[in-house]
Order: sequence, then structure tokens, then C-alpha cells
Amino acid sequence: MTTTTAGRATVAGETRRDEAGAAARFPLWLYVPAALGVAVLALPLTALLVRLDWTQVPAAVASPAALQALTLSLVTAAIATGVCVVLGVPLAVVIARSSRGVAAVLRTLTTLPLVLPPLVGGIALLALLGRNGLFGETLGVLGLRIPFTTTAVVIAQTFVALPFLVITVEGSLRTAGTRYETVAAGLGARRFTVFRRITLPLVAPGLIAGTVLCFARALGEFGATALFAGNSAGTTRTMPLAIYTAFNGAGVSEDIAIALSLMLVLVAVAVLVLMRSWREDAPR
Amino acid sequence: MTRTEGGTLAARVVARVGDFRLDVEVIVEASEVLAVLGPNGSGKSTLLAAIAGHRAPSAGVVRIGERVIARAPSIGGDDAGGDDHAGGVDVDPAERSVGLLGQQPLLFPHLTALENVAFGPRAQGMPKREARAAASDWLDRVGLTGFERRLPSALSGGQQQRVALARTLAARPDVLLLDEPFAALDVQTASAMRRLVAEQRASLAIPTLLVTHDPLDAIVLADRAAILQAGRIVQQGPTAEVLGHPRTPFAAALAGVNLLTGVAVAPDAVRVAGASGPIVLRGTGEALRVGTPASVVFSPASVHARAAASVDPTRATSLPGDNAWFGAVSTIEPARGGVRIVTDEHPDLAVDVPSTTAVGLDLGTGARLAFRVAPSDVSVRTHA
Repeated sequence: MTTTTAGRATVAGETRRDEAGAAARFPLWLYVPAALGVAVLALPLTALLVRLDWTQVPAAVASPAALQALTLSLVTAAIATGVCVVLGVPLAVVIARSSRGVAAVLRTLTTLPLVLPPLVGGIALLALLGRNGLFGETLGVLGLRIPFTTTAVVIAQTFVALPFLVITVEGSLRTAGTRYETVAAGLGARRFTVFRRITLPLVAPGLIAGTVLCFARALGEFGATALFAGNSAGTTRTMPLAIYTAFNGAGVSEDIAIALSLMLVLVAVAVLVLMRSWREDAPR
Repeated sequence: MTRTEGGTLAARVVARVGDFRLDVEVIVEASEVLAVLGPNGSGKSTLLAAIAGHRAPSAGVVRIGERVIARAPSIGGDDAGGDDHAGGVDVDPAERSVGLLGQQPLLFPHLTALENVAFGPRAQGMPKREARAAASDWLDRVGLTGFERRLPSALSGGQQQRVALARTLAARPDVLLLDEPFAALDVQTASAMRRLVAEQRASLAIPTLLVTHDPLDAIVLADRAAILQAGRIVQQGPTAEVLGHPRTPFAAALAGVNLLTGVAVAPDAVRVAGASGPIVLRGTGEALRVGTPASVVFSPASVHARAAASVDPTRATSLPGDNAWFGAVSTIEPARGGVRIVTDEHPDLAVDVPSTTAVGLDLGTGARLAFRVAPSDVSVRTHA
């Protein structure tokens, strides 16, 4: 017991010395742009807190409209994340285990929504599922109308969030390699057993990180949702749309928008904290 | 998974990797260990991959007993099998019952030692409780009782390799493949592991194929040895025979012995040529026919070296007697426990000198030394 503790202490000490050593080795003037970078990221959020009229916050946050938007956001983002996991993990496996050429094509397709402006995604979804869209007409004949429904919100969120999950999980899969899977097969395990008992546990940290990123992206989704799902309270007005509406709304003060933004920031922070605690557990 | 009674492993494997061509046939009886010795790039890994099912052979067939686990689709119809097996067979690795223990333990990092060992039985459908009991039994057999709940990261390299052995054997393979399983271990751990593998596989009586570049592995574990050179088996036979009297310079280098060829001058003596005159080497082994080609084999460490001046100054340059010769040092390299000396006169003859002797020899390039090897340390053989 004593030996173990001493051993850990030594390792921790070495790590700390290594970190200090690394800090001393880069050009010190890098601190200047680094500090500017922190300012660019942190100052706007600080301003948000400073500008906030705190007396308005309780009313703004507790207003039925805000709660409705928050609930809609959390529910749709959770469903979209679920869809992303169900579709994205298999896609990541296929990409990671495909030949180089096939993988490159699939990876490009997957990454595309990531680099496209979400507004373009919204237009594309309308082109597919809108009233005069590719599939939209057929769906209309069947009595199904997707645009401007809560379903459309989920589809838009899935479209923009899926790449985050696929890319994260695919990276984990490629890092994990196929060696353990080969060993498992040699021990008599069928493909599904290998996938369930070896592959998935090995990529669990990546899967958790990818799921969290995916959820955060779905929660913040605005552009594609606005175009494809619209902005009607209760069915498609998620938090980002509620903030936009409050900000632009005639007669409504900016403070409501700021208060709602604060809620979104808090949710995001909570998600990141949760992810950190998971990730620290994960390597074991 | 169907569990067959196993049987002899018979593998004829032809495979191409770029310009390299592997073409070998190995037959390993149940309860026998065959060591395939070869350096890196000789095709050892390709052979194992074809048997384990990670690579389809371009020609050939792999059988365990009566069960065909791999057969290349015959193209020219020149297959000696006779049956009309036009289509190939490529049994999934999970269905082959071929256990592989490699250089790296590759324990599943997220499972405990016990769960790692229980993985094979579980995957083959054994009930959980039974599988864990079997795994616990196997951990006991490899001397790791009390380590059941450890994760691989909390085990030493040697312990991990023992768990890996238990995991491989707990899956009840019909054939055991050992791919340099001791190469990554330190000397003491490797020695203990060799003993453990020898004990455990002896109790199982399944055909075992060991590939290695270390003759020690073959000496300790294998009944028979085969030398693999550039994709072909160049010598095969009882381990003592193959390593005790290798037939080619390549095999001799692998076994770490000197192999010299010459002409028999007596039933127990061979004359080999040298830059400053021939050496006559007497030894034991086959009775030679005088005048026919013959070979001699001896270990570099069995040669004794002294400073040439200390022999007899008047005779230092003249011909010495049998089993003795002179030489001027051309290269000196580190060797196990001392230095390896090669002389200008006999560039294909290495002499290992212990450090304690070497310090007293005033070694340097060009130093003249007198060498002697006892006839009992020399093996003589008719050279085919």
C-alpha cells in the first residue's frame, strides 16, 4: 500500500516537472497572441455577464416562452443526438475499416456539413423535403409534411451535428486499430461479439466525447432550423431562435435575449463539465 | 462453435507479398512442437497469418486433422489433392480453433485478467459462471492466482504474457501458434515463460507451431526444427540435428555456430582451407570416408584463444597441430559475455572469448592469436 502511494507520488512529480520543462521551451512572446486569443474568446462572454440586467433575469428565465423554448431545445437536441449515435457509430466503423479510397470519399461527404454554412444546409433540406422538394412531393401525397414541424427541427439538428460524432468516433476507431479485434476473433468471437465486447468499449471515450459535442452542436443549431423548420413558438422555436426573436422583437428588450443566452451558456458549461468528469474516468 | 477432436496440422502455403514468395509445407503432429527458425523477412509471419486466417494463401491448403480450414481456389488444376475442389475454402478466424500467442500480449485493456481469460470460453457460448471458473483455473495454472481483478495496465510485462497464454489456451484451440512469444521479455522472464509454455502445452497434446529467430526457443520447446530462408524451408529435422549440425551457412548463422566445409582426411578429421594454410579438425559424429566432402560444426564459444607469442616463438608461424590454428584479428564485436573475434585468415570462422580472457589478450586489429578447439566440441558430418 505504502509502495503504491509512493509510486504514484513519483509519477505525479515527474509529470509536473515535464510540464514545467515544456513551458520553458517555447518562445516566450507566444504568450502575447495567446493572451489575445483568450481575450477574443472570453471577453464577449464576460461582456454578456456585465451587460446583463440581473433584475430582469428571473422573470426572463422563468417566462413560459423561455421555458417552452428551453424544453423544446433539450428534447429535440436529445432526439437528434440519439439519431446521430444510431447512424453515426456504424458510419464511423464503415469509414474506419474501409479501403483508403472509399474512406476518403465517405469522410469528405461526412465533413461537408461541418464546413458548409448551416443556412445552406437548411436550403438543401428544403430542396429535398420541402413541398416542391425531391422527396417532399411524394411525402405530401402520403399526407406527410415535414418542413416547419418539430420533426424538421430534429432533422436539421441531425444534419449539422452528425459530422461531429462520426469524425470523433472514427478517429478513436483508427487509433484503437484492429489488433484487439483480430485477437478476439482468434479466440472464437463472432463479429457482433467482437463489436459489442471489444470495439465499442475501446472507443467509449471517443464515443462519449463525440456524443457531447454532437449534443452541444444540436442545441446551438440556428441557421438550418430557421430556414427548414421556421420559428413558431412551441413547435420549432428552440432557444437560439427564441434569442433571435427576443433580440429583434419589437418592444421587447435586449435583456431577455441576453438572459436566454446566459441559460444556453450555462447548459453548455454543464455539458462540458460533465464531459470532463467522464473523460477522466474513461482511460481506465 | 463445433468442437472437433483436432489432429495433425498440415499446411502447404504459397503466398506472395510484393516480390516476396513464400512456399512451404509443414506437418505438425498432435502433441508435437515444430520450430520454424528464420530471420525477419523470411516469411514466418506470413505462414502464421495463413494458418490463423488473417491472410488467404494464393495456393495450398491448411488442414487440422480432416478439417480443411483454408484452401486456395485451384486455378491450373495441378492440385495434388485429386478431389474436385474448384472453389476455395477460407474458414473465418473465429471458426478455426487456432490459438495464437504473439510477441505482444495484447490483453484487452478494458477487461480484468479474469475477464480476458474468460473471453474465449464466453464467446464460444460457455455460461458465464462456468467460463469464469475455467478462467480462474487457467490463471492458477499460469501462477497468477490473486491477480484476477487486475487490469492489464496493473500487470508487469511477464505477467501480461502469462495471462495472454492462459487466454489463448482457455479458448481450447485445436492448434497452437507461437509467434516469437518471448522476444519482448527480459532474459529471466523469458526463461520462466519458456518453461511455462513447455509445461502447459505438454498437458494439452495439440500440434504447436513455434516461429522464432532465437535458437534457444527451439532448443527448449521444440521436438523438430525447420530453417526458413527467403520463403523456403532449407533444412528440417529433429531440433538436435538441425541446430547441432546445420547444413548451410545460413542455418549455421541462425544457430550461432561455425560451419566449415572441406575434405575428410581421416574417419574423424576434416581438412578445411584457410588463407595461411589448411586446418585439420578432428571431431565426433559420422564416420567419414577419406577423400569425400565433409563439414565440421562447432560453437564459437568452445574455441580457446591465447596470444600467439605465448605458444612457442619458434613455431609461431609454422603449421600448428590438429584442431589448432593461428590468425590475425580483423574484427572484434561484442558477444554474449565477452567479445567475438574474426581473423583475416578465416573470415567465416568466429571465436567467442570471455571478457575475463579478452582483457589479458592485448586485443587489437592485427594481433596474432593461437586458437584451439577440443575434438569433443566438434561435430563432423559427410557433406551432401
